[in-house]
Amino acid sequence: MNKLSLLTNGIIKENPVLILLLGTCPTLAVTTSAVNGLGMGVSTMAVLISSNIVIALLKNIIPDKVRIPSFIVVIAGFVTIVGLLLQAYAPEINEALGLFIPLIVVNCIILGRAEMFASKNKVADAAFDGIGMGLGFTFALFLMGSIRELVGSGAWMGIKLTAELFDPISVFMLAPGAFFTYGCLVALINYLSQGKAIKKTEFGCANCASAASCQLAGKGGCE
Amino acid sequence: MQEMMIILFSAILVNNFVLVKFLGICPFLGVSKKMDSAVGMSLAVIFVMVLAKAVTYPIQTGLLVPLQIGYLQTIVFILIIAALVQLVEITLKRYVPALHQSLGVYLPLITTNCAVLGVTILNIDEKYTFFQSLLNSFGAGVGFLLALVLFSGIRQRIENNDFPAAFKGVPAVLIAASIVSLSFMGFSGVIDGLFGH
Amino acid sequence: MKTEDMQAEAVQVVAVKASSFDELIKPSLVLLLICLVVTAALAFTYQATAPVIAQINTFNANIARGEVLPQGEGSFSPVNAQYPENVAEVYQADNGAGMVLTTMDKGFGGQLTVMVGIDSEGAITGVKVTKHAETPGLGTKAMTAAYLSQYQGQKAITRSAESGKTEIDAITGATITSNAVFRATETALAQYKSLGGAR
Repeated sequence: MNKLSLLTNGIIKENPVLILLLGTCPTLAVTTSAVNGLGMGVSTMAVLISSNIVIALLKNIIPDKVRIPSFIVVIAGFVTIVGLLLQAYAPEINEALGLFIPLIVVNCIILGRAEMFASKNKVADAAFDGIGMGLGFTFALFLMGSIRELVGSGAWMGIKLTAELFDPISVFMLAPGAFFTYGCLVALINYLSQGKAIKKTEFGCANCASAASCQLAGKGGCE
Repeated sequence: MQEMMIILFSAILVNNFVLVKFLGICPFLGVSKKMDSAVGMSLAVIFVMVLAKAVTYPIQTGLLVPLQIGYLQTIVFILIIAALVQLVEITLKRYVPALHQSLGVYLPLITTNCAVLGVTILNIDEKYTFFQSLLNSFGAGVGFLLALVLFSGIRQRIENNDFPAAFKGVPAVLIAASIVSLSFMGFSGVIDGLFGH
Repeated sequence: MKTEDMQAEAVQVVAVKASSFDELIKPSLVLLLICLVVTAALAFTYQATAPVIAQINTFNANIARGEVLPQGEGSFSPVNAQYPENVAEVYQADNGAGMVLTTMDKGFGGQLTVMVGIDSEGAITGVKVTKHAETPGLGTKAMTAAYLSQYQGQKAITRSAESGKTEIDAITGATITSNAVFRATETALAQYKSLGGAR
């Protein structure tokens, strides 16, 4: 694969959120506004790129037995660094994302990419994969945040747009609105691609980060 | 006692981990297709949540805070959870094979379940005491069980329904989750009414 | 024969040792090394960011306090004393213009935190909800600047038309939140009085 296709792969063809249906927790939880979605996306992207690079560098040193714990330590380290930097230089974003910053550690996209891509590929490829996947994740979260903010509070990026014209549907800012928006987005992609883009018809275990250590994932899930 | 009840029921209903706080969405959507796997997964989650809290609480108050290395919280907690899950799996396999048969299969999935890491961090942010933390963790686990069981019942019913082609499969599940979480919003404010000030 | 046996045994022992090194010790060492390197990196980042974080937290807190007590000119210091459970912190303006009290009460969705500015005359200069879990669109109606402005300039507040006190109205659709804000503000006024006013 050349570098460009590595990039576009993550953004469009294998968009982690909209096509692979991964990282659902932050996608639903922090997208109450476009800015929050963007902040979460960029933070996750920073962790993803750094951990992909480090894991690709260390792939020959880390013994297979302690592979997963080593990945987790590396990822947790970068997550804490990103958290500290956010506290110091973007306290508003840090406040808004709260608990979901430390929870980037268990974002299945990051451990999944470490396991499936970075530990098997060259450093440069792993970096580009991280950028592509990170951009795809950021784009999806920004889109979700924009829709929910516009419909739920009549604003976009904090700028009031339709709030004066009619009452915003504030349930879109709450939990049910998050599930609803995500469902509609997935349906829209289904419709536009005539059901071809999203191969998964179910949420399953196959793409879960623990798939490697779970004996059932290979057999098609826990059902 | 009253305070205990408020903590427990808030964790189960008002602040339901899955439907209100969006923690543990992956297993919620992935393992809720059949009732028995939903129950098995949830029981394993309750067990690991309470155990993880019992171990992380003394480490936080006895080690991280006095040494002023609170910034290592994330890394220490996730390693503890990963080790605990492994340990529980080995113990179950060795001594209680019957239980391992029914619950053990879900254990590897729990390490990266954000609900478990989430509950250990949240309890510390809330400044709960040791016993309150355990209760809150237990409540969070029961809330997880409730959400999964309710939802697996609903999913069995929507399976055969006729949706527009684009909504078949994943989108239908998400819209159903949206309606279930809407119903859970009705619980906010109820707890105070039940147990009073 | 015997020596051959012993040799074979010795080879086996070495093999076992080598395999246990590869199997157990090497992975543990590598994992330990990774942990050490990561911890060192974190300690370094923490040392570098800690002063910035402390500075920005005080800066932001002072800006927030300045919003409810503009006369304080953004310079406050904490007043340390034993406070009841629902009073979080008390700060006084360094120029003696008044006090800013942070109090809590139970709202509809859980704990609600309010910051109240009170000038040296004992009159409220501003009320602001800083933390809450209320329903957007309903409970949040009781947090708008327009609604909270009715607290400004009041020295004694009431819900039920007592003489000598100013009545504060609840807002439709957000009664419980309005009540929580009212009670938290009342707590702040009472705490201000029991401290004996601004110094």
